[in-house]
Amino acid sequence: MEQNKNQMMVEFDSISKNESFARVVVAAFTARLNPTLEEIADIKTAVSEAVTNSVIHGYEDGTGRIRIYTSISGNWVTVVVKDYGKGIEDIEKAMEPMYTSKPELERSGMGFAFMEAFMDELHVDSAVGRGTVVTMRKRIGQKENGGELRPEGEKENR
Amino acid sequence: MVIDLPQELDHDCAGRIRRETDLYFVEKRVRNVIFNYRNTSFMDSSGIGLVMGRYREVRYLRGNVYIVGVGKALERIMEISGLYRVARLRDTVEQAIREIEGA
Repeated sequence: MEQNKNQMMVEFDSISKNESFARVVVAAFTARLNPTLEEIADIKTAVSEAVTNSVIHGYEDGTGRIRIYTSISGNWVTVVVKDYGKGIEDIEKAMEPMYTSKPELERSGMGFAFMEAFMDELHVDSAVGRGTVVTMRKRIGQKENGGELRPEGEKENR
Repeated sequence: MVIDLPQELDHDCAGRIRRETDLYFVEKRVRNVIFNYRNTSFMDSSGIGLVMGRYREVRYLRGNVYIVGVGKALERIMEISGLYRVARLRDTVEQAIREIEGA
């Protein structure tokens, strides 16, 4: 486990322009694990979802800070997206696919569903009035042999 | 109406596209929308919301939403999102237009 351990942290304002910055910086950091293009795309989508949630829901119209910790250990990458915003009252409900508290903004309600689909592990911690921490983990290099999308549990790709 | 989507379609971009097209939608009573993903290599759930929103609008006018030019990078996210259930998937803009004009 000790070999190939590395960490980084970035903090930025919760404005929508920073969503692309966030996913690119995490993707770049993860690049040393030699991920496939698909794995990079998965991580970028998941980070984008988490950061967008913080921008839209965590801070609503105000601006706050979003912090991302990324660490690599062995062939696992862990991404933690943390905000200090209003928090989530009912995490279970927020994570239901298609549920959104902001239909007027044309949110699809698929944010957490995508994080879950594209990463191997997802954990959400939140305290109302204090903020939200989303922790996601993914193992890189799962499909060395065969070229299948996921080794198990995934439906066959068309 | 054909909307050529940018290379990266996220919340920031989706909001801009929505603001730019909303007025046009109402003014011209747009019935059919073609979302062209030919140049798009990244999309998150904001892109799904954008299509669903337009779908709801054109549905009133008995129109359709078409999705064209989806490359390998977006296949999986499209499938998971369920967009294919509401939008019609075609290969090219021309193909979608032909279908709309033939209808």
